[in-house]
Amino acid sequence: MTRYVLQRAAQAVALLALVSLVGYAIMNLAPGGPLAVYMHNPQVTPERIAILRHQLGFDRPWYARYVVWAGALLRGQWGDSYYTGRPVLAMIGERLPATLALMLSAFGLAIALAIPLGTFAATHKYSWGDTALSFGSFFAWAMPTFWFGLMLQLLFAVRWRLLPVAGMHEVGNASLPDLARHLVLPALVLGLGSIASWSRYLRSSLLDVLSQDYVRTARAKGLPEARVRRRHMLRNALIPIATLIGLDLHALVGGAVITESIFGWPGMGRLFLEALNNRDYPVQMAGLMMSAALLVAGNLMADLAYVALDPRIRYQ
Amino acid sequence: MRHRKVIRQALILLGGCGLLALVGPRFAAAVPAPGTFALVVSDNPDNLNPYLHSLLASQQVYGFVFDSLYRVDERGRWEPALAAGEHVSADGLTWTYTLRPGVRWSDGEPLTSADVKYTWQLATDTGVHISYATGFDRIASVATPTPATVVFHLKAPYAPFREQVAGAPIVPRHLFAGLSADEINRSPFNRRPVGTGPFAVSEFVADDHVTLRANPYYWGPRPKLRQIVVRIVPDQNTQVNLLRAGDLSVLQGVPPARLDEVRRFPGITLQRYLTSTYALVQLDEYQFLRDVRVRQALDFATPKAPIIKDVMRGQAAPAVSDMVPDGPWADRGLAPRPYDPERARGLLRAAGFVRGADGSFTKDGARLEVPLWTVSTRLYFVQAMQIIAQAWRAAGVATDTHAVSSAALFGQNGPQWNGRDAALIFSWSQGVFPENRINWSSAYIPADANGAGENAERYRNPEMDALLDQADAAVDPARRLEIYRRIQALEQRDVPVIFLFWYVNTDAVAANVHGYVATTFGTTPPETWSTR
Repeated sequence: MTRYVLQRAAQAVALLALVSLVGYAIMNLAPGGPLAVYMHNPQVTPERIAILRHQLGFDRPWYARYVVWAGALLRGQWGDSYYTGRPVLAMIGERLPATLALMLSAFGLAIALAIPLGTFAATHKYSWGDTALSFGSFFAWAMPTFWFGLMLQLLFAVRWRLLPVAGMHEVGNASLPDLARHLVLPALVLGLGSIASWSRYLRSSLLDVLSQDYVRTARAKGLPEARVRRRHMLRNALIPIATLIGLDLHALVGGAVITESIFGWPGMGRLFLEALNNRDYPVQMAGLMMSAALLVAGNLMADLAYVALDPRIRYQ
Repeated sequence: MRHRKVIRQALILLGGCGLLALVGPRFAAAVPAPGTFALVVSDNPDNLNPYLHSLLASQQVYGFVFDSLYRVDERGRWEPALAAGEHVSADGLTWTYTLRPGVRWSDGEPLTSADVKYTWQLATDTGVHISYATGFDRIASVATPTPATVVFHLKAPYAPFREQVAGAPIVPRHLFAGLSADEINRSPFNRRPVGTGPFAVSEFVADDHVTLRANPYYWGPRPKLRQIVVRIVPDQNTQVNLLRAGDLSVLQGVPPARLDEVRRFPGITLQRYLTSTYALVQLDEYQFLRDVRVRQALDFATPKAPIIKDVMRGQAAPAVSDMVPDGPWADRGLAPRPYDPERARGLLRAAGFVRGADGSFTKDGARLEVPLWTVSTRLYFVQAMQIIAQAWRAAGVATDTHAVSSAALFGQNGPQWNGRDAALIFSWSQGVFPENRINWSSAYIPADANGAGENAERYRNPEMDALLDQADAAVDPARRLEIYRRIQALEQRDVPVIFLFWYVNTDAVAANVHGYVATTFGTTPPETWSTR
């Protein structure tokens, strides 16, 4: 097992190095560039743009800059943003709490609702409840996030004034209840898609498990139904869900651009989108590397979770 | 059967929610607390040092914090701010300013002439990531004979000095002295600046809001507001929802598509004003477009009125030159060329073109082809492009249309650098001041997509070059005005670009806001705004 993990970790390092090289190359070869934002501004003279180009090192080829960037990263230096002049890590650090608050709330909400709903749908196959859940899942899945978010805003914030329209706190009020009020709508919008998809996956996975011999055996030996569901059905059916959750893990830190934009949530998604728009390469690369690392880690964790969920699985 | 019943129940449930939303209780919109003025910007301000930022959102915030020697009021008139007086030598080489007595920075330190001199030193420091320093490079030296007197000695007469330097924010020397260029690039000042303006930044939560408190040391009338909250929300629909929920005092630049709806919001008044940004068709002069008659013909063949009326829904005004019509530099005697395809065809015939069987004009066996390009992200440009393409084809000009990303439009592989005639539709924020050398001077024809200059249309006219030089040196305002009138006449005659329209902005203002007036030149001073 340890050997397996070490092997996967070594693969991950190679993969991340490749991702960084390809990402850096694509970013630098794309048209435009960090100075494009100044190009059509009459107040920024061409001479000044030439000085900035030299200061930021754009008069050197991209691969030379990649070597410098990768070397600094290995020493733990993520660089400074071209626009704010601030260390990338500091910019990420100040958005991380907001991102984690939103993503964990949405994640928690999704897990808390998807598992019981998926179980209910599977164990009440073709009942009215199952049909309603199917209808609701497909509806939620098909709804564009931006539309749903704006509709919720219109109802709960504009018309009924029960919740705030946008933001993370009222100005001057950093209390937890205030944070919770601000979290409700974005977490709901963000969690709904996961609830819909995870509950559907769980339903079909459970339906597969339901017809297995070991479930019939468990019932035949007189185990209570709750125990059969929890120990014998759910545990086996969770394997595909563990994969899905593992693959979604990177979003915990990567943020959710559309939801954050609609609800004015100061999270990582907006930071990386702004970096993309401004071609702020150091911030862009940090976002890419964090997402890639968490995706690889999430995948590995999902693989390891299989062992915990199904003792028959062994890694050599 | 049972499924139908379930679907019916679900639909009834959904319908019920919808009905509740439509007819359910409405709660009256609140407004920000008295003494608080809330506005919203779309981007996270990148840097609040006026010389290091790149985004308009930063300017919208630091505008409350800094002052300049002179400033423009909402009617476009210059008035002294940090300066008490100005004297310009007859040769235009020496500009002397006397500072207003008793001015203090928001940290309590006194403002002196050393701060003004340091601002020049900062703006010309090649180690700092300076973006805005136009005009500072014309200064040979700065003398500070007394703490209240500052004397600029210029390398050559430079008429835009007042706009570019006397109108530029002054930064505090005492917070920068001794810092290396690299330290200035990363300074905490860039997020919590210290200025002499009516407000000072008290809190900056990235991507959420900036709070500015009234500056107790402000030299002018005591601000009527306690604080200004600048919220950072990128989504325009959310911004409108914030306004509707009563969370904003003003929404600057209501999206045109939501204007009719916003007009009906209770307690909201609208302020409409011309901006100093115009839309244009840039004519890249490689082949036939080098002939002025062809460019004039295209101007006649461009229907501007339907674009303003139908595409811009009236949120635009006719343009005839690059001087904003509200401003003091515009020649109001000039009129845009009318839409007249017959005159366009006449000009083309006079230029030696003959109309072929397919309706297109040709000359020496080559067809007059001018492809139209614009940015795909601006729907109104794409719509305008289709209208123009249709009209040009009717006039006998072969054209096809391309909507691409901004990077593709202006990049090295784009239409500007392939050596062929092309027409590009985009906008240009000229500002209210007349300097336009980088647009029309032949010295500013860029060699490639990264080259220096904005004259990508490759317009060359020695008369224009000479006038631009004279305008820069004309310190006498009357003489300067006369030169810019002649420059506009040349723009009109030579058609380096086709001027389509000026943008019109609309601000939505909450009922409890007093003293806020927005115009082409800016707003009334924020210290005069109040919310009751």
